Amino acid sequence: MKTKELFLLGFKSLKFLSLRKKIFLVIQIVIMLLILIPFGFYSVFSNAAETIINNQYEFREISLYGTSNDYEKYKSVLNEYENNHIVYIDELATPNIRAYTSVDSRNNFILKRKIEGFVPEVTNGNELNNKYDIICPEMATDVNFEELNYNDLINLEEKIGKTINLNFLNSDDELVFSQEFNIVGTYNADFYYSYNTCYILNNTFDEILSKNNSDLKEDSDTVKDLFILYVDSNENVEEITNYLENNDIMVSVPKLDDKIVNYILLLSIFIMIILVITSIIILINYFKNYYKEEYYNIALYKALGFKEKDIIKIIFIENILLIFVALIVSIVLFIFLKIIVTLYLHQFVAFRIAEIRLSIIPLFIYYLIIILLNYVFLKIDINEISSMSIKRIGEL
Amino acid sequence: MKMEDIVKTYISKNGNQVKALNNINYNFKKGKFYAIMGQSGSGKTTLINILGLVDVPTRGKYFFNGLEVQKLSNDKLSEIRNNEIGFVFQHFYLNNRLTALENVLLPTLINKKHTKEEIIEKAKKLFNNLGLESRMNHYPNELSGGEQQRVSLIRALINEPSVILADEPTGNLDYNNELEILKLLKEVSKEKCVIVVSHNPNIKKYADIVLNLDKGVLNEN
Repeated sequence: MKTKELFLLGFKSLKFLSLRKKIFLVIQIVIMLLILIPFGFYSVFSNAAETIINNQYEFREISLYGTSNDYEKYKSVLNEYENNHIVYIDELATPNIRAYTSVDSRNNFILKRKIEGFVPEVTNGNELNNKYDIICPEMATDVNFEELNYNDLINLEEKIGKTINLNFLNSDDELVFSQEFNIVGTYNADFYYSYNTCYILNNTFDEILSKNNSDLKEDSDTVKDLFILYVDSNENVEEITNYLENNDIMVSVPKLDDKIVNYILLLSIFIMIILVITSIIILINYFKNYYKEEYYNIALYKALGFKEKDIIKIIFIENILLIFVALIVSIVLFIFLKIIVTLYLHQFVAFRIAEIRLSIIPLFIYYLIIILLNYVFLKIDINEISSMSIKRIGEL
Repeated sequence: MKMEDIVKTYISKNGNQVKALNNINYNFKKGKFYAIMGQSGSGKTTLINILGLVDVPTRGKYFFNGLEVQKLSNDKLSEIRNNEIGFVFQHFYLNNRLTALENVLLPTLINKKHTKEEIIEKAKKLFNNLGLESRMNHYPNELSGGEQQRVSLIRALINEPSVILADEPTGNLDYNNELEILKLLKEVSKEKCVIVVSHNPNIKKYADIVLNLDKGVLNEN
């Protein structure tokens, strides 16, 4: 019997489904959707983790802690470090400067130095050139982003070429001085988890620091950031850290807490295993009893002279077509769900990079398992199919 | 179709042996219309199953076109059934998912005697001969009982078998349709061996030979 004819017979059978087959179809759609969801949502977290690790320069910074008395020792150790993995050393400085748009408000922008490899790519406008040039996020805020809705961000891309007045306060929250900056360019802050970070030239940064009078040398007993090292890659952070620790220097390296990502992965795998076992039980039950519902058709095929292998092929194709329908429907439903959830998540700045992925491979592996079970049970039950159909022909 | 000392026994649910057919000896020939009459439980269905190569006798020999059936493989029996035997059932048994034409073409899917075009041409001719040319593309639930049985008969004839086996073919039909079907079977029996199992006494008017099956024993009237 030709394959084309088998498939045509199979398609015809899909037009008229019994209640049992309809229930089975719905169960398979639900199971396949449940397979897609953990893989799809796991990718949100792994995607975020990967982005943070690879893009966020904070994880290539090493802070050296000590009192003022440790300064000379640390300086000497750093001078003896021979490899060229340190891009920049920030001495006796806070890594950030807080700049307030309003003296009365507690909301602030964070100003950072322009360090090669540590400044995001300018997507609109120009790079820093002049003393009071500033690069800002395309969509920006001076509010803490964890509480922020994306719709509340201000579009600074429109303000390229315009100025922004920033105020600098002392530790008593008193205004020390104000400075006007020219917004020369903007960058996409979605991947940096910080919509209030702006960049200025190194010299300008030092100048503002000195005006703010943040010389830490005088306070000799307080443990503070004596140096901040900017490392060229994540791979070299460990090497430098080991070198410093071997020289009795206190270091601090921001690390991504990947525990939550691993927990989600383990949970996903656990759910998968439960789903697959449940599904296999359902499938075994379905395939074992399939022929009981189909015995009239089987008896008819036998009476018409179809061989057992032809009958197996017909039933096999009917089943895999039925489950293929479930596969397509589950993928369509998942895409629909993905669109809705992504639209919802992207309102929140913390989930701007969220991407729910459609993982076809686990679904097709599951489909292959079904095909295998289908075939195995047909082969096992063929004798019973045969004898039952003989009996049923008589009843026809 | 030659039966020699055919016995068929079953084991009932309480473990007793039931003899459905008891030493049947008969030779069915081409060009004859045989009517097998008998009460319920007389073994008619068992006899049809054995004649149709769907079941095998417990003892005895059955020869189909000179071949001893018990020595043939399942695949060979299927092949013979497809090529040489056409079944007509009491309840028509058409596949509701297929049109009348598709139902008729079903046995041809595994038959390589003719090309697809030849088969369709032959099927259309048979539909015309039986007055169903306008019903070819209708589904079984859109056909009357008589029409369904005629479609079933066309399906039985499509592969040009030498034998037609009909188990109560008029059981679900009204009087007019019943006569129609019996006439058709009579027409067909000129070139084939037609064996009809029935309670219906009207069949005796059409049959060349009437056989009686009583408690598994076959006798010619």
